[in-house]
Amino acid sequence: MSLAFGISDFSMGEGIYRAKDLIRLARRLGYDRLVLWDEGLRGYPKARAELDWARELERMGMAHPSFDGEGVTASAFHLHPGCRFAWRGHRYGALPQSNAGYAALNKLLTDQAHGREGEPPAECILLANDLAGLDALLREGVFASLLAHPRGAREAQMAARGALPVVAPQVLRFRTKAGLELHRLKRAIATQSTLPRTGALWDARDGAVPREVWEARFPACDAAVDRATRDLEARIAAWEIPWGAWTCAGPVGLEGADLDAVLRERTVEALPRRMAHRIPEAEARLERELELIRFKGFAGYFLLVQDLVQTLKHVNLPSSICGRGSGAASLVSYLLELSNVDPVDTNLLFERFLTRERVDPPDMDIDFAWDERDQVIQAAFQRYGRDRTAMVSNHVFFKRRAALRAVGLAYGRPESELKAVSNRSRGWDGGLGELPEGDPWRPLLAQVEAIRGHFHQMSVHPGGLVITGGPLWEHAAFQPAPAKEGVSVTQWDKDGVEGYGLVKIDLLGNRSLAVIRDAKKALNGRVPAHFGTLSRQDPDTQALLARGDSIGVFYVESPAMRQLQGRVKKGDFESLVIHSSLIRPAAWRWVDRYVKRARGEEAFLPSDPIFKELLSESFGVLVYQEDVLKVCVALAGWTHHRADQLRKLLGKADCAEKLPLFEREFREGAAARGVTPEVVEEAWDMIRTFQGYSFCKPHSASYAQVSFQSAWLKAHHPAEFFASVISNMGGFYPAVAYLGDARRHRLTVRGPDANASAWAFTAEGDQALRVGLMQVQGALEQEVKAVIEEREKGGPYQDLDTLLVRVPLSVTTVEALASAGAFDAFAPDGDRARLLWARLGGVPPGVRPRPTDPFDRADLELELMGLTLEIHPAALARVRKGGGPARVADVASKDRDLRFWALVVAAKVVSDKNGRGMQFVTLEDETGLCEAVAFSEAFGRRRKPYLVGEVTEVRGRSVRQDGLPVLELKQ
Amino acid sequence: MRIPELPFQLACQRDGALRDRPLAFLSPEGGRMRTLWLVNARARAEGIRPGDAMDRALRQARGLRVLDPQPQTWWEAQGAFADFLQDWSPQGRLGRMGEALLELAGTDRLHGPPRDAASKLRKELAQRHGWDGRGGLSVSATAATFAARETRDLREVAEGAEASFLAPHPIAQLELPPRLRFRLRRLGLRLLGDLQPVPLGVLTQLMPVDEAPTLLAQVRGEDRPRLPLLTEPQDRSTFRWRLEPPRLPEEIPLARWILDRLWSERRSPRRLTLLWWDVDGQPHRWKAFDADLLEPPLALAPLVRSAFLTIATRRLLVHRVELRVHWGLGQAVGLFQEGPSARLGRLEPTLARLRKRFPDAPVRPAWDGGP
Repeated sequence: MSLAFGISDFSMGEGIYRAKDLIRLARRLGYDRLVLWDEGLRGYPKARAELDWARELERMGMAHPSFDGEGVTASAFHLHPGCRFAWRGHRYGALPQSNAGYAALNKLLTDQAHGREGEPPAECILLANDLAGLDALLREGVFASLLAHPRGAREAQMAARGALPVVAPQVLRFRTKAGLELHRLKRAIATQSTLPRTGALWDARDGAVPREVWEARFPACDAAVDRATRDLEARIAAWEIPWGAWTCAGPVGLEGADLDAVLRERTVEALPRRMAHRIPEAEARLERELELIRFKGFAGYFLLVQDLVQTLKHVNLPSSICGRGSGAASLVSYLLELSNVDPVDTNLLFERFLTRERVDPPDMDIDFAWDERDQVIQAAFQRYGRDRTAMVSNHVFFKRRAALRAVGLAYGRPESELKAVSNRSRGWDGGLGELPEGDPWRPLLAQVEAIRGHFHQMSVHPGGLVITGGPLWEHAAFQPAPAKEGVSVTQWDKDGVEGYGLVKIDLLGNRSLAVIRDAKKALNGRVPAHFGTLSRQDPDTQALLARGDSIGVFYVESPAMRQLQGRVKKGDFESLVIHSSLIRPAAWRWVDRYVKRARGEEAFLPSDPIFKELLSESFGVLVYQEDVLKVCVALAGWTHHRADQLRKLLGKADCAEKLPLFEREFREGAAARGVTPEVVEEAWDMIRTFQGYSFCKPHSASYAQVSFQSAWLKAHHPAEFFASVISNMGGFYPAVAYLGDARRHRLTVRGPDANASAWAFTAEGDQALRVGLMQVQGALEQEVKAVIEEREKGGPYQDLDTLLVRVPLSVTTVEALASAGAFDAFAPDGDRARLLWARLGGVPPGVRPRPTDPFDRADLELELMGLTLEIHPAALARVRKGGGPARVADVASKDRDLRFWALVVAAKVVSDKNGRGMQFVTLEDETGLCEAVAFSEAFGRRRKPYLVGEVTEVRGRSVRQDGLPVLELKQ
Repeated sequence: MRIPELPFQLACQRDGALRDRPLAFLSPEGGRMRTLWLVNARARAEGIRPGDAMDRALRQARGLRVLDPQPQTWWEAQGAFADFLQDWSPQGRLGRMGEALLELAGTDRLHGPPRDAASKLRKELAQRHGWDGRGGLSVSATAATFAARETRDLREVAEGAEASFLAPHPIAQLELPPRLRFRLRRLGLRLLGDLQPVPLGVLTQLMPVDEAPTLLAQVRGEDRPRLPLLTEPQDRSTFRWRLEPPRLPEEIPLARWILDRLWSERRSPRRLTLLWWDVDGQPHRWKAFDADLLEPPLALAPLVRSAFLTIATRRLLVHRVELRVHWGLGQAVGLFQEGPSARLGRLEPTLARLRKRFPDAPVRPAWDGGP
């Protein structure tokens, strides 16, 4: 028998092998068929992907680490899904042998995850762990076999004597003593216990042995057992899990309709309405897209997404959407109003989304306003049913810091040590390599390394949703989502779902859509028609973006992006599309080259005309994911699908491991087409360095469209804009930084007022911004809303006593509102303490409360609202703790040593090229905003990194970096 | 009675070279940079503060010596301090490290008037242990505590003058919950004198009703707590580590049944609180959420454990733990209550005397009133 069962790291608290390690172990022990024997089926897609990868390497004549040396080849190695489960107090395992059996197993897992008992799956080979379990099943009339083990030899003999079927494949749990210890460690982690208190589930006799040893060792050495095991192997070999066929539901109400025809009808009807010009070109492209969609059978997916978006139309939801990702490259999406960028006009490549050869299903990403998204998801569950709909899970694997923490806790190390070691793992204090001799953590580091990359826990994907035509358990098991009422989540993650062929839809939350919605509502019709197009062509908006004055503007407000805008000084749509992609990690290393060429300081002299043809838009720099595709197709003659596989790989963690295969293929392909080695070298160098997170052009263009809309609002209606930004609690900066920027845009910031403030921030005319009562922490929301409601009904409050009579408020709410200044109108002298006494029946005789001075008021505002109205937090610190005459504005003057108090409004720790930590910081005081950098030496001198929201005394030297003023921090 | 900087005094006793030098103890909490935990007065005079980075402090104060903390030694010293105080009065309460309240009323016939007794106590403390103690003398516990903190030897607050003595002290010196401290500050109350005229009715609107009278008595110098016996386990730490196991096997299900019945009584409020104190007297508290209390009490054990493991970052320094379960409308009941055998043990000397005197019937049932 060449069949082994394997327990992987997806069996939490048990398995010690990652998929590739398990495959390697099975092969080295002499097996060529492996059944995954975990609790549930979570680990199957990962193991399958590993095997597929090994087969691909084999096809290219390269060796996969799991298949090196002698032994069975990857193509001859087989993997089967199987799983263990508990039923009525007994432990069993199941191996599906048909599609129906697979569905029944998924149904059982789903039922049990939902707290139901479930039924033993039909059309599966059932294996009982012990005789009692076998007996229980047989009494229910369900046929099963006993899974034997040398430890249970007597039980196996008894079963054999009773003519009960016994099978004896080896279960691979661990191999060495260290492996058994690792199992105990993982068990301690999973049970949140400490190692000394945790026993192993297994003992030394459970260790894996070579196949021939196992077969000789098995106690019965019984021909019947051997026969039964071979029979088991033959039965599972006869069935293959249906993998890779695209599965997706059609829209409700169109059952039985010709979906291709419906899609054609809807898009053709929308063409003249959505396309203002270039109609013939659009028509040709639409034909091409529709043909491809028909070929791939994908019309249902487009119509399904449209149906989901329109589900809540009857309650005017969603207010707006932003189709993004590769799906936005499709003209069909644009015509169905699933995206907002014209792909013909913007020259977006449809092949990034869908090609004839594409194996894994593409998905569409749709953004909704953050406060509308959950309603859309709930509506999807209601419309399509909980049996057919599930969100996609996210598998979290142990990384260095999480592993350190888990191992530390299992060894009972105190929290303070965990924190310190975690900091070291980020490169501080010389990193983990410089732990002193005798440090209790040194022996633990090997354990940390051992569990790195192991499955850790499951979470919910931010927006992934799958909907199937029939019950979802026919395809995959699912379970209730943690902390989300009425929502299910698949047990497979994004890769597993895609690998199987379930087509995913990403429904994501976006705060800026809510910002634009609220600002437009506040402007009450003052937003022009064709707002999207107009904002792109508006000179004021373009000027604002060109000078990097984009705090609060969607996606381009980070310090790095503002600096890039400031360096290039271009604010047109095309430049913004490039810049918002260039700022991502994959393209960032080429930013200086791009900036010089964009400013005309360096000529773009392509070494081959092909570069000019493909990359002239970005001056020879790879910016978008499509650029990789284009270069591979043009130089190496790849198909779009193959190039897309490389594109996907570049964004993944295991890129370094798999990239050589693609490199070889690329070089061979390019050589075959007669491309010179120098050009190949240059092209591959660009591709090789395009690793990490990156954007595709449609995604960038969709976001740039939203950026332009919010930039237009900032340029023309800053009061409404800032009110909406802060009210939606989104963005890169804290509220106080947005208020600082509002002041720099000549807006007056008015404090909270019981007679004037609404719940959210509001604009008061064009020149002022009113702090909303939502900002006051500690006040009870219900009571605050009652104050606003009563004011709207009965008019403004004359004084505090009247207010307290009209709306009974708790001491807590009065304390918070009065201290934040919401009742200042009732005390012109600004004495908030006296106001607070009003709720307590007035100041008692003999008590002389100290009146509130401006500094007290600033303290109270910081405490309760995280912002100040009269005195900037930096000025407050300067007055109290002393400071020099320098201010943030002085950073603009070059080569000066400065020392001043400032508020940290943004901070980012990064590693320099030597791997040492450094930090970029944005500082603010009442005179302005500046960017600062603490290089590794200065950063190393600090006790802790700069934190957003802290007021700190900074020392540094003002310098110019590419013409922009920057403060180089000294400590 | 207060022995200022007891840990530093102990260190100086061990190593005479440390006297008259700025000293600090290293923080037991690790971190990227080692920081100072406790700092003596000389170091403070040189601008060193607890929490400062060690290397920076060493640069700033050249003579500074940074010592490793020895909580076990400190705790033993605190025990020795308690033993010493028992020679002067049976009643007292230990506070933070090196601090204790002692009831001297009623000891006149042994030690003379309280002031003389306090002077002698200070002197003997110095002779026997070599510790420099400071005393505050008052009928008010708060006034005595504040007086001991201010003086360099002994300060008496005359009876009737407690309120005026306390008035100029900042409210921040009282150990109040941060929320109440903020609230009082927002009301413009900074000093104890500001708080003294506040009527009780007003104060109950600002803080828990049952705690308001105590606070008012404290700030007015009217607190006259009945101090426990120093021989008894101190104050809230009602018992040591071990729970006494039931002596009869049938008591186990019975105890569990009673606990479950009491707990499942829905009409009565329930609370589960874990308190612990570090060796430097730092108190910590964890309270179970109401939603958690729907679980049966024994099922809550893992919750309590994980809460302790999460919050108690200074576990090495914990010297006292108390778990309190409250239910019904009665008093708080410590889970580590004194067992019956311990109570019988305390009665043993009396019983011995009774046996000697009445060998036939040393103890009679209560209903047998006798002649």
